[in-house]
Amino acid sequence: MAGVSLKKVSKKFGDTTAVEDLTLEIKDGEFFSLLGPSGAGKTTLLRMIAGVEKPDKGNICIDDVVVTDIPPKNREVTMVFQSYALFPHKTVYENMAYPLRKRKIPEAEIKKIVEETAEILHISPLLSRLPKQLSGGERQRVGLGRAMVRQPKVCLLDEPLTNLDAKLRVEMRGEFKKICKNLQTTIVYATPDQLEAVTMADRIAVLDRGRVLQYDTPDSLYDHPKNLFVAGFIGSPAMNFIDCTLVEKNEKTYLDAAEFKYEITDKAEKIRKKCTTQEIVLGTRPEDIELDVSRQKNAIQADVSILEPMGHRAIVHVQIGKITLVANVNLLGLKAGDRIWLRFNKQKIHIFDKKTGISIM
Amino acid sequence: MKIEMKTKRRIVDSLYYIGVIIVLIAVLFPFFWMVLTSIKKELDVLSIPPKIFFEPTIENYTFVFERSSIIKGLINSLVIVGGVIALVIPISMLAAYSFSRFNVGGGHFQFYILTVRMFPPIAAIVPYFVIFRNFGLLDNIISITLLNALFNMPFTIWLLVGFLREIPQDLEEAAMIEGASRFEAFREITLPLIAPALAVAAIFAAIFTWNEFLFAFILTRSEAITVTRVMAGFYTERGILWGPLSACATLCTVPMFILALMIQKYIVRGLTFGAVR
Amino acid sequence: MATSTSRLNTKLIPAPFFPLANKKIDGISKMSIKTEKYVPYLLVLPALVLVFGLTLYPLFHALYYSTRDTDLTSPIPDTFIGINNYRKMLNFDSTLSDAYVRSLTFTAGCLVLQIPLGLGIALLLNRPIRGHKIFRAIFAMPLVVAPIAIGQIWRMMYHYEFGVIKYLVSSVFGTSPNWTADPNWAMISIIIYDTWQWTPFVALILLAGLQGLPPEPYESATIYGASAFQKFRYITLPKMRPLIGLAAIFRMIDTLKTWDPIWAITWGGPGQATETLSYYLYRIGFRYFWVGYASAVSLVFLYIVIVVSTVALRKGAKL
Repeated sequence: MAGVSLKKVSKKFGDTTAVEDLTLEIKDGEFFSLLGPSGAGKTTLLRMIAGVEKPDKGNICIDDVVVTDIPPKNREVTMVFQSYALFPHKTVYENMAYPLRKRKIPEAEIKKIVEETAEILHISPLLSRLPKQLSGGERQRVGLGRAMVRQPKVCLLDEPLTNLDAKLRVEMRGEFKKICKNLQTTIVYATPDQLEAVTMADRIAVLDRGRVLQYDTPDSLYDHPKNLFVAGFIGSPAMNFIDCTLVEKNEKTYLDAAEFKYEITDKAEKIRKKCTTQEIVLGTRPEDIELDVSRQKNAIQADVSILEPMGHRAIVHVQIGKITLVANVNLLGLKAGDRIWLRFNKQKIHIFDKKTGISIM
Repeated sequence: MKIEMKTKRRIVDSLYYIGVIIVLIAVLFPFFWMVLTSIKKELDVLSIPPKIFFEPTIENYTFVFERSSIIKGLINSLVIVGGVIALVIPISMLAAYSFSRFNVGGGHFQFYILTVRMFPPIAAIVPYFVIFRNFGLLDNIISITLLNALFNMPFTIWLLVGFLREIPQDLEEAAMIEGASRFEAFREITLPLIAPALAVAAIFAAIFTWNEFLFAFILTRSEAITVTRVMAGFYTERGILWGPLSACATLCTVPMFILALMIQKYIVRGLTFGAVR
Repeated sequence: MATSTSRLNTKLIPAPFFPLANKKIDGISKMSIKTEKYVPYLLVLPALVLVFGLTLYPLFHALYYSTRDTDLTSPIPDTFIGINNYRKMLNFDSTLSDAYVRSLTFTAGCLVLQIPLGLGIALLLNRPIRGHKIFRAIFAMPLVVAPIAIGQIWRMMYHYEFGVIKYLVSSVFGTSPNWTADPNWAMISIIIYDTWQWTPFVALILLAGLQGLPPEPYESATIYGASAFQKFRYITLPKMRPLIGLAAIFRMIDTLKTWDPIWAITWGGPGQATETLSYYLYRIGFRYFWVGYASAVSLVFLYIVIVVSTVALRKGAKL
């Protein structure tokens, strides 16, 4: 178990910058997720922590020791690759025994550990098979098994669930969390799927194009996203963004979205102080929109365009003129084409500066 | 109408079959004639019109074994082939690994090595001849082996680079993370996986070296004589001894066919430098 | 599931078996980092030494001799004559320019025959017949036989008295040219041999290409009523162009280098009828031993081949 810290790490491949001036602190023993779309730099970061890629600038420390120049085999980390990287010419047993063999552990011990690990991952009957005879899910578990047989300081996982089919992925997510919690190692988990990250990690770093946009607990990221990207990335269905202009009229301040005006006089001071422009983006999550069939105070008129029922709740797409919003509400007996009234939860709206993308509140 | 189409297709199909058979006959005929001639008596060889039915004899083969240096040639050629493989495979493997994993020299070195394949050997041989002569290296198995090794290396390196590309670097990296040094990762993971490719490369090198004539012809005399040189030695004052020549040709060719069978899957890939699978 | 995971807390995790990384830092690992940088270069070194050594040194050697009038058969020591050898090449030597012409003829003849024939055979074989492996094996045969061996067999087959080719041709056409002894037909004999040996190669390449073509364009074309010829001209040909170009480049480079078959079939004759540049070089270098002049011609030849090949390959790569 060890903490990992990355200090001002940069890496370029030819003309493409993979990672830029990145600083991150991963706590000892935590389940830390690197979240971001493809090309964000997650894999590069993992590879640099593992030691198979060298940063152009900056330092990497594991357990407070600078490891930037230490070869991978001495770093006490282990990694599960996206492709699982199972040795095709070795049996499952040999694959899992490999790290232990390299540490010169006696055969009897190796047998015991490999068999125990296989038992936990439910791959015991597969021990004498070759990787090409295994299914995707089985291969993934072997990859995990190989990482689990010794106790590394850090366990790196590169999108381990991405190559599984949808159903398997949902099943494995729960199992994974259990297994990882019991490993008692620091875990760094890269994924493009925000649902995975949010359900499994203690803290998440949201990455885009080589930069960390925010790193925090899932709840903080959900409630207090620092910028447009993070706000739009976390949460499903995604947050609704409405372009508005800050407008003053009759001593009241409004957010003018062409189709409607939203009064925010009480927050006006704060907004004006932090904002660089009159262009604002109003963000509100689908779960924070209230719909009513009858007119309410301060409600906005809208039409239901699409209804996606999900059990006792529904995803409702509503149209306010040209603006489409997505709401996640209890099923109210609505149908497409109905006219309804819409209200935003004022405590939960987010205001972003359109130019910088930074959250103002 | 229906009958017309069916017959039309039948005719087209038979045309195809005939075409294929013609091609096969054209390709195989010279070999057939070679073997046939090797078991003909001299009179039958020279008969007009050419005979297909005759009394076979092995006198040509006995002639070759008794009167020509075929045994020495075979041994020498084997030794040279062995030497070439021993030199080329390890050196090319290291270079290919370096090119594919580390991208040394950014492609420039690779290109230089590629140009060696374009070398017309005849253009290179004049300086080689003079140099070897000056250093007393003519008719020397070692110099011939070195030369053949040189000319087989670009091809081998290229072939191996292509095969290495199919082995994902993930595997070596996983091994290194789990405690192997780069060398151990290469030895335990990459090498077993590329072994078949090494065999293919070795066989190609063997074929090219065995069949090599120009260098052997000019740079060897009697000590380092190769099978190809023996092949060229069948003319006398009376003319060319066709019977024994065919026998010798058959002897030299059969091993190559066996090797070819082993690598036939890779023939195109090999001869086009991996440009075509 | 639930029962096994309860074991996790206690039994699974093995105690750490190894000392912590910290301790290893001050040892071998530090050194290995420093040297790691040079490993890639070290690995290529033997290959480069061999290649550079055996190509550059002779090259300089040739440069040196190309400025001298070295004649290995003459007892007179050689002298420095500057660029006279090169001047001789450009102005006086008509045999040299004839050799260039013959090389071009040979290359052109081979390309004109081998590419279309190879394409035709590839089209012929591009059907779902089983026995692909057999074809590949059979087509590999001309490619792996020594030209010196099978070339002489062809010489025998071309023989004007008892040669089987002469016999077959005169049975069909009534008469047959005197293949290797007739100056007008000697070059053609060699071109035919080269075609026999290398068309299978072209066919194999193009067959691989044809088999990689997607079937959808053809299916749409059939629906629109296209004829087989139209399909070939508007779908197959354009898609195969890069591969055909590649095959042509390879053949071009290789035909410029051809030497073994010429020796085997005609010895450059009759007279000098089949003396391409390669063979000419052989004659002046190793029959007359005019090493100086031969070095100059070699260098120019080398230069031309490399330039032409590089340009062709670059253009081919762009396709």
